[in-house]
Amino acid sequence: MMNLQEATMGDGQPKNDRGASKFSLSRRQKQYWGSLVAAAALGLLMGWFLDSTDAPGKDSKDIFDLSLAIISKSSAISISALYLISFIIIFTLYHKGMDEQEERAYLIANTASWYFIILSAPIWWILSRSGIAPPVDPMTIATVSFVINISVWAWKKFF
Amino acid sequence: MKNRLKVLRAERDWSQAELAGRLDVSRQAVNAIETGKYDPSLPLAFKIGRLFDRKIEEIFDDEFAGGDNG
Repeated sequence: MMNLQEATMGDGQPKNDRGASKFSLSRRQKQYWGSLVAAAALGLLMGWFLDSTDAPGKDSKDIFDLSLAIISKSSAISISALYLISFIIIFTLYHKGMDEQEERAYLIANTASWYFIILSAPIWWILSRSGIAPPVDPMTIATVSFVINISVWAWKKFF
Repeated sequence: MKNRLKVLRAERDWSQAELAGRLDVSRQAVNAIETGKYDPSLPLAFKIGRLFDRKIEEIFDDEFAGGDNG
């Protein structure tokens, strides 16, 4: 038999005999999953918008053409503003909704990707000036830092 | 840090998910604490202590107790 303290432990919501909240998700969990769903929905909306602005006659079924399509200045400014404002709010809610173990995973992952950037970018730049390496490609650095970030995060959170 | 969380959880026949629900953390967090891969913050340690009606030092091993604290 659970005592009252056990029954309301955690987020203060009453729990059933299996430890789950009677109201399904706690406030923290709702905020966490809600922000992820909002991010996915916004991503799909922006993808649909970009796809709809694709050049006439182009094969719109090829999703990888999305990033190459030329868009108007007004569309670019609108999408950038939507991306910036929306994701600042979503990421704030997301990080406030995660638990402390995932917070630590993100701290280590973000540190690892940050150090990759500040080490690789200057070295690549110096090497490219001597002709040893090709010109610096910021997108390559950003992509690798993203892969490092998500890999370290998954390692520290799940393993 | 070694701890007795898995034993205390087993005594109550709770799954990691059930304990996570009571502590309002993820199941991965409970697993990481049990396996010693993650040391909980003081607020979470106190919450665990209250849940099991134990003092923190009865759940978590103070490996520096009685030794050189630096």
